[in-house]
Amino acid sequence: MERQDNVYQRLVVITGNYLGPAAERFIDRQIRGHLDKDPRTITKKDVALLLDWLRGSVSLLTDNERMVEEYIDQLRNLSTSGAKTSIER
Amino acid sequence: MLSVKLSPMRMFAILFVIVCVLSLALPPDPQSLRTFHLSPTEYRVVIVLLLIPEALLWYASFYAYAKLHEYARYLKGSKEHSAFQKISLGMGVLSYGLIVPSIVAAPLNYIAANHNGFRPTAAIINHYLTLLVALISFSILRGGSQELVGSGLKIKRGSLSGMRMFALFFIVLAVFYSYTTLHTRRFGGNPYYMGVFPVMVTIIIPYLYAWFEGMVSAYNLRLYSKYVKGFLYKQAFFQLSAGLVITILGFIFVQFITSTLGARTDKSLGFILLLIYLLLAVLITGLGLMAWGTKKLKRIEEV
Repeated sequence: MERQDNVYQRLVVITGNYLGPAAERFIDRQIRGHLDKDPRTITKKDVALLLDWLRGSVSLLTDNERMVEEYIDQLRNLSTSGAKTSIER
Repeated sequence: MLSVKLSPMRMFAILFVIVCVLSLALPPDPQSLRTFHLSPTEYRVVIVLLLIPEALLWYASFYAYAKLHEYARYLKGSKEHSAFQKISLGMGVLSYGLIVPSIVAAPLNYIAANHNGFRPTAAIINHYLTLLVALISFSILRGGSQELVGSGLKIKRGSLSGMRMFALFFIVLAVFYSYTTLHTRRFGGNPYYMGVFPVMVTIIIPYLYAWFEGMVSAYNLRLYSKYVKGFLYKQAFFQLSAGLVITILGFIFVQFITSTLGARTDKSLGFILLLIYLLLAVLITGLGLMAWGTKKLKRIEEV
């Protein structure tokens, strides 16, 4: 089983490709606000629960729907498989 | 004890009212009336014509500062916090530095108009106050931008052509500024009321140093915006940095013009007004872009 801290790190790395240095703060806020959890204890199952919230939040920052879907697809991959996403590699 | 928190926008409103009262209530300087062939009423019309775009500039400047100040507060605990705090502080000094010298200059010029012997003192205080603002604000901005570039960013420093262009631009600016200032001192009635050596040591060198700091800040911000990760963050930071770069270069240009051309009385009033309006338009564009970019960055921290 993958370490929880690793899931968190990968979530931040993927988000970092869109939100740069603000990614960690953004992810921490989303996890605390919507899941009421310590961000570093997030699991793949939690990522799946967070997807819609993240889609909604990122949609508020850009009108580029393709980019939002690309971001959500990468997170979905993270939540369903252990394989690294193309952007992480 | 009752404490009232003075936000940047409230401070702008207070300072603006003080400037308006001082500019319109104090009687005009007879020497200025003679120089520009104006009646006291025409002089006040010119003051109002200048106050309108200046008020826009001050408003844009305080608005951009307020946004940067709010954004820096969101970053508490992050590694960029200290850098943005310094950038916000530098912008604050620049904003206050735009309006406070006008407040200080009004009574000084009034005293000088009535006591001719005080004219050199008033001019020297006005010159040094503007210089001090440039020195402090650009140094703080340079410190903040340097910190930002050093905040874990992977930067390729291989490009020498950018540095060469920067050096060439600064050399041209320095030579042209030194020549114009000394030429104005010699043939333009010595607006600095000082000898060549004091002008070189206390006006030219400090101004060039301040502008160098300002240009290094602009260079650092462009560098950060080029190498920072995150598509949406990059987009927002690009607007902020482009705005800051235009603002810094605009301020350098304003100071350059006011300390060279502005000190000369052989230029027509129309020409001076046109130049001022042009520079104010450039500065307002830069400040607007900066505020827009900062709002976008702030939004990322709010969702």
